[in-house]
Amino acid sequence: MPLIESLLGECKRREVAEAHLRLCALLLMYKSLPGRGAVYLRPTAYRVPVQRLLDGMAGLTGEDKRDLMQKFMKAVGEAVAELKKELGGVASAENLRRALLRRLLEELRKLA
Amino acid sequence: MTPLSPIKSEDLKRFLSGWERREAPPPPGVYVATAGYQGRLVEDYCARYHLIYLVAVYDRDGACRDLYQCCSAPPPADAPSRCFIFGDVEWREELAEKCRVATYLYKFDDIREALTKLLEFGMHVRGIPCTYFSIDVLKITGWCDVDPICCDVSAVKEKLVESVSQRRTSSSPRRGEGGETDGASGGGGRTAEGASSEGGESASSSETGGGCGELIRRAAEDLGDVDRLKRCLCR
Repeated sequence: MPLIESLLGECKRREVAEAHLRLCALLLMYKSLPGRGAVYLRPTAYRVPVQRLLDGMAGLTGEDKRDLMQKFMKAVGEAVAELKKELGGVASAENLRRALLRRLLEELRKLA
Repeated sequence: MTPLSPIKSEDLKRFLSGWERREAPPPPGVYVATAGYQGRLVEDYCARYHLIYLVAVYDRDGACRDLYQCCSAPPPADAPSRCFIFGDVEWREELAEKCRVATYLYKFDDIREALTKLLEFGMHVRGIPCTYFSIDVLKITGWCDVDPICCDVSAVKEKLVESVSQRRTSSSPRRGEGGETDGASGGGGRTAEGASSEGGESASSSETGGGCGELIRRAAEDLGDVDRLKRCLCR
């Protein structure tokens, strides 16, 4: 989806990622959704996507990466906890997509 | 497995009063969106509930007698189809064996009104985010004006960049000005975050003179080794 892609591009900038952790975490989670099937809701599933995002960020030292990784995983953990409350431990990709989009739209509305 | 939530029957009755109900698959038409159930989930869902389809029949000239049959007629000149559909899942033949289907039809003489009705059903009754609808549908219904984020996030992108640059400009003078404000907000700059960001600004601080000196003085109070720090930051 181009809307999501273009915003996720902004999250590759360190300053944006640091200032809008929840939004960037939600965008990343949305991007990592499978097309179909069931999804186990657990934060560790998003570790690799977060790592990839950080790898694409310019000018980060190892220490910066660890620090930002921690912050991102905290934001992901919070979002996953919310989604678990709504959907349970396992959700269909479609239900999860919808729930994530609703949260994303909420975040975007706050900004706009 | 999370069960797919069915539409509440009272919501359905309220929204679809006056619509013609048929226990038949949807007629041919253009899908504006689907709730998006897939594979086995549809079968599980079908075992318990009807699949619901809403068909808005665009009939500007009032020529349609049988709304269902009318969908097979050639489209009018000003629309891509005579019928616009919102459904739980895009209809396919194999669903006929497993699923009970309810199709609701209503005649509209205004295409915008027809699409708005389907959009409202999808978003308010079915709980689909606006982004599930095509941009064309969102534009025609005027939804892009109601909720611009559904169609375009460029304003949000601008805000993201703006908010970050504001943070930068508001935080950088404070660091250079003196101990009180910086100490209160940053906890003395002892974290990894503080160290890296201050390191990043050291070049500009040294250009302005006082900023770097002040930073060194404060850091020296904490760390002691002024010269080593100075070599690192203020070259």
